[in-house]
Amino acid sequence: MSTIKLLSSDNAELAVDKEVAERSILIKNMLEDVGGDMSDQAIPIPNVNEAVLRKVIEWCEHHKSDPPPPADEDSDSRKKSTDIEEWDQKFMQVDQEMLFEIILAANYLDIKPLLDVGCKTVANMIKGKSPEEIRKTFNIQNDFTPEEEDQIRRENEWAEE
Amino acid sequence: MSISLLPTEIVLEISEYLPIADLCRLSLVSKNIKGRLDGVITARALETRKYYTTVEDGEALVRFSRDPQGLNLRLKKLILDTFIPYCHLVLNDDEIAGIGIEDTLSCRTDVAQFCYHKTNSHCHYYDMQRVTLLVEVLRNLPNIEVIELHWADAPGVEISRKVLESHFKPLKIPPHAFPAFYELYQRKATGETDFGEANRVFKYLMDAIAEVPLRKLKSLEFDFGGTSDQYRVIGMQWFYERSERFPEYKENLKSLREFRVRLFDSAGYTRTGYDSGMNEQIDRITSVSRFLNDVISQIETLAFSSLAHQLAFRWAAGDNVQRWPHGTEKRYMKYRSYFPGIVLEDPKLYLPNLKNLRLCKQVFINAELVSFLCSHQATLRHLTFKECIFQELAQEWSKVLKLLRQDLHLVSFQLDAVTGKYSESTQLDKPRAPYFRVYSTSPVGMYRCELATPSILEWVYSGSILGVEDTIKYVEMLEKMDFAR
Repeated sequence: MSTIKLLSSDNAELAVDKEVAERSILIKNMLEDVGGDMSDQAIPIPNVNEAVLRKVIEWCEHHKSDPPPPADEDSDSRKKSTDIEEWDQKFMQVDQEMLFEIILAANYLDIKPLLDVGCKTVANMIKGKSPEEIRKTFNIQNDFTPEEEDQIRRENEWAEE
Repeated sequence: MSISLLPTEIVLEISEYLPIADLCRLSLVSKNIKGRLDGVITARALETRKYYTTVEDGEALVRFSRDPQGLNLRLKKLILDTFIPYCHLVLNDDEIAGIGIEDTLSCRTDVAQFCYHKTNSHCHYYDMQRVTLLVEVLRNLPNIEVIELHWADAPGVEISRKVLESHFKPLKIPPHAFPAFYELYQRKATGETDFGEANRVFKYLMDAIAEVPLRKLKSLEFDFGGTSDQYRVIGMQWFYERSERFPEYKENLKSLREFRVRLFDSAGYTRTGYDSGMNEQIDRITSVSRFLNDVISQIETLAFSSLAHQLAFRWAAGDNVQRWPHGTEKRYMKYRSYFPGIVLEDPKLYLPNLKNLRLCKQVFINAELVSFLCSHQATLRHLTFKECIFQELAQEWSKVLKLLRQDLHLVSFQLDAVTGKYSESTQLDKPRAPYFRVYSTSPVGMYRCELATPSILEWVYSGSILGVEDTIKYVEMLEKMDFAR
C-alpha cells in the first residue's frame, strides 16, 4: 500500500496511506492531477493544523472501507436523520473549538461524510434548546433588544405549533 | 471559534438537520445567526405545511393549492392532522361543571352541533366530497415529496394551548377553559379505541392518490406520533378492500422511496367463528404484503408495525400473550400463540432496493426471518427490531447472530429495549422490560420464558437502545440460560 505525506499549516509532516487520504476528494483529485505520484513530496494542507489533521486522518482510517455515499442521495430532503454511529459519537466528543475545526477541515478537504457527522453533532447540541440555552452552549452574546426579541418570537410562533 | 464564525455554507448545512421549530429558536440567538437563517426559514415555511382536518383548514388547503402566485408549487411536504373536533365528545353536566364552564347548556349544544357538523362522515356523499377535495388539492401540488398523516391529540402527545384554542374557536367555551376541557377529553379518549377519523382520512388520501400521478412523491408516512407504537389508527382493511385496484397505484407511486405505516386489524370474530375470523385476518395481512410487493417494491425505507387488536386485547391472558384460538389452520400453527406479521413465506416479501428496515411488533420464526434477511443482504444496511417476538428456542438465535455478524452487511442494528417491568396491556405509562421472548418447545406450555430476569433488566437499564455488540452479548446471555425451569 503506498503512502503519501501531508503538510499541515503548522509545518508538521504526516505520513498516511494513500487509500486513507483519498477519503478527501480534494486530495484524491490532487493526486489524480499529478498522476498519483507524490511519494517524495508532501501535499500542503494550508488550512488545517497538525492536531486537527491528525483527528481527520483518524476518522478517515476508521472509515476507509466505508462504501461511497449513494450518488442519488437527496440533498434536499428535509428529513435528515441526526443519528450518529457509536464510534463517530465518541470521535466527536471533543471541545467545541476542535469540533468546529474538524467541520471546517472536512469542508475544506471535501470529506462529505465527516462534514455530515460534524454538522449532525452540532445540530444535536441545538435541538430542543431555548435560544438562551443555545447562547449558553455556544457562548454567544445576545445582541437583540427585548423588543426585537419579542417581535421575532411573535413572527416565529407558527413554527412552535 | 464559535458557531457564529462558521461560514454560512456550514451554518446552512447544520440547519438541514434541524426541525423548523429549532431553526426558529436558533435564529433568536443573535442578529448574525438570524441574518443567515431568515431565507432558510422562509423557504422551509413554504415547503412544509400542516393542515388539520377541520372545515376551516380544509378550505385553507384548497385556497393554498390554488395560490395565484404559485406558492403551491413550492410545497414539498404536506401534513394532514386529524384533530379532535371530530372525536366522540360526550360530556355530561358533571364533567362540564367540573372544568368550570358556567354556561353549560349552551356549551353542550354548541359542542354537539359542531361535532355533528364535523363527524357526519358516514354519509357516502360526504366521503366522496372529501376524496374529491383531496384529488383537487393533490393535482395542484405537483412538487409534493412527502405526505404525512398525523394525530396531534394522540394520548400522551403534548399539544400547545394555542393549537387547542385556535381549533376550538367555533365553540363558546371560554378560552381559559380549553386546556382543562382538552385534558378532560384526553382522559376520556385514552380509554377509547375509536380512531375512526384518522382511518377515514387515510382511506380518502389513498383513494385520492389512485387518481393523481404524484411524480415526485418520495415518502408516505402513516406512522403516527405518540409515546408508543401502541396506538394504531389505520386498519388493514383498506389494503384488503383495494387489492383489486393495486395496479392503478403502481404508476402514481413509482417515485416513492419511503413508506412508514402502523396498522391494526380489528377483526370482530367471536369465539364460535375462530377459523373464518382468523382466515380473514390472514387475508388482510397478506394483502398488505401484496401492496408492498406489487405496488411499491422500489422503496428503500420501510417502517412497518402491525397488531391484531382483537387478539391483543380480547385474548390477552394473565401471561400477556395473544393466544391463537384452537382449530387454526395448520400452516399458521408455527406462530403458536401469535398473529403472524409481514415477514411470511407466502407471500414472500421482497423489496429489491430495501436499505432501511424497521419492524415493530412482528412475530418471527427463524426460517422466515433468515430467508427474508438473506434475500435482502445485498441492499439492507440499517435494521431495527422493536418489540418483536421470536418464536424459537433461545439457541436458535445463533443463526440470526451468524447472519448479523457474517452475512449481512449492516451499518446499524438496533434492538429497541424499553426498560422497566413489562406489561403488554395498555398501561403504557408503566415502565417496561424488553419485549423480547424466547419460547421453549415444551409440550407443557407453548410459551415458557419471558426473559426479563433481574440480571438482564439491570443490564438493559444502562441504555434504552442496544447496539449490535450489546445485542449480541444480550442474546448470548439468553442462550446460556436454563430454559428447563
